[in-house]
Amino acid sequence: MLQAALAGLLSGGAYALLAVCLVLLYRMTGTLNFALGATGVFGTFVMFSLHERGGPLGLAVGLGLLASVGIGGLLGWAMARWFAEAPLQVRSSVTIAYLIALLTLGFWIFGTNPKPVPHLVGFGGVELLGLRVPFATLVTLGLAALLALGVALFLQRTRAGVWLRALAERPTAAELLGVPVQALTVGVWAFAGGVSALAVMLIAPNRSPEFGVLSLLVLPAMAGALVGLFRSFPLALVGGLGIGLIEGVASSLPIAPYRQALWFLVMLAALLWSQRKEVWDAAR
Amino acid sequence: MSLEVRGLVVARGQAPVVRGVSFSVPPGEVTALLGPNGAGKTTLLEALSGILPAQEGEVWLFGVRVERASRVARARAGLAHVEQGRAVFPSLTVEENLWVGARSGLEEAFGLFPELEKRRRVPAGQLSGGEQQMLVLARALLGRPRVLLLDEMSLGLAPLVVRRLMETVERLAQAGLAVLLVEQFAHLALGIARQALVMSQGRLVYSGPAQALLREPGLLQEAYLGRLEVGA
Ligand SMILES: Nc1ncnc2c1ncn2[C@@H]1O[C@H](COP(=O)(O)OP(=O)(O)OP(=O)(O)O)[C@@H](O)[C@H]1O
Ligand SMILES: [Mg+2]
Repeated sequence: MLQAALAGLLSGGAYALLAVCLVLLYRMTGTLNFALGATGVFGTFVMFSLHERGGPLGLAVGLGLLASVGIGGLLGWAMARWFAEAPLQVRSSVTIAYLIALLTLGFWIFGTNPKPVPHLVGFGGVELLGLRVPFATLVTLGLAALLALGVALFLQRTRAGVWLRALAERPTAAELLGVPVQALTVGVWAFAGGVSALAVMLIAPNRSPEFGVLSLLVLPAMAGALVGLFRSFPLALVGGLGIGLIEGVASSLPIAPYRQALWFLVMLAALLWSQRKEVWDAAR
Repeated sequence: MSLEVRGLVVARGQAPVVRGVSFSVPPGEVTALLGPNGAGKTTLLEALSGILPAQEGEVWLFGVRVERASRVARARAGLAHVEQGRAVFPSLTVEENLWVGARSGLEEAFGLFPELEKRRRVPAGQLSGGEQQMLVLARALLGRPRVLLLDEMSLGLAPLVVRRLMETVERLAQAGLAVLLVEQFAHLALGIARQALVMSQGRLVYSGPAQALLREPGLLQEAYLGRLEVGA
């Protein structure tokens, strides 16, 4: 069972990468990005296709990441241009429309034939406390931790980070001070797109490599982000990892066929918890 | 002229709120913009800085037309707008608020308002109203503007704080800045202004020396009531 839990950690790391990006986008731009998974899947399929045609893996990965950066940035540009003052519901709905567009485009460009899935990280592993931890898991976990820490530090310590936080609180006041709002917004969306591609590429060898299925990775990531109520980066990291762990453990139990739905319970628990807290706040 | 406005019309929703206003703001002095509640003063400033679009008319900033330019572009061109209601970034510290628009170090801001330096690591949302007003003024100045739009700085502040703010504005103008000052307390604004504009129901009903309004309070009253025709 421990080995099963460990297997879940790879998924958990990928969920955590996506969850941290979801929190970043929610906090800085007030949007729930349902298209984040598909944004990464698109770049991943660009990578698959290039690799299938004999392109070197490094180049394929690089161009795949670039594709997702572009697709993420494009959505960010549309948000900054046309939906800057729209409320959360409208902005989030726009991402759903974008998700549908990406799914359609993905099927159209890449078809439904299965593609060979290259492994980004070698097959080896290390022995830890009698368990064999694959390199891929280590790399994914490391990246997830690095991302959560890096994003938090970036927002605290850099000029652009201060700009982003100012923008999140009072976009108009930030603009009046000459903050390059459009460029920053596009930058955040593009960055999230690139990270999403990385997450999908890392997890793809363990999943059925279908465009639609992989695009739904955004849902367990949403559940992970919800653990920190879309506010906290460390909690999003923990939430993403936790959901992966639970899935892993469940796969060794009789409930295995339903394990993908377990994060629904996590979501429900987080939501109930948040309600309880609000009731508590209101009571004071 | 630093700022020049010609035939400006601005609407909120359907209704035109600023209805054909022309004036100019020269460098090195304070121009007071007065008028009763709802006259359209805030609406006018918002159109100047690009928060609201202009329906008609022209806005010239140092000889360049900017009425279609973005807010960021106008800020970069040297226009600063200190909004009504003290728009601090509440969860950012005093220091971080100042950094947002700063073109150099923060010393200048702390020189003007030493109390901000003492509270540099405090979230701006926790400051008093007076400190928040000092913060937004200092924050705007760090962007090295050449035209400064100030909207109702004194609202709800203690007289002592208000006097300090006014003295600061006066000194800034003496140092070369073009200031357009919107104030509820007419005598405060007129005390440091050279020219005065009075708005009523979206139109300018007085435009002339500030001293004239100070010397003849009746004139100001007439202007507020909209019974005065625009002077030269
Ligand atoms: N958000 C809004 N939507 C629609 N109408 C508005 C809005 N804000 C203000 N108005 C209307 O526009 C007119 C001008 O308002 P504005 O705030 O520009 O006046 P003001 O001279 O700044 O007044 P005050 O001295 O109260 O600040 C008023 O009649 C007001 O009712
Ligand atoms: Mg006003």
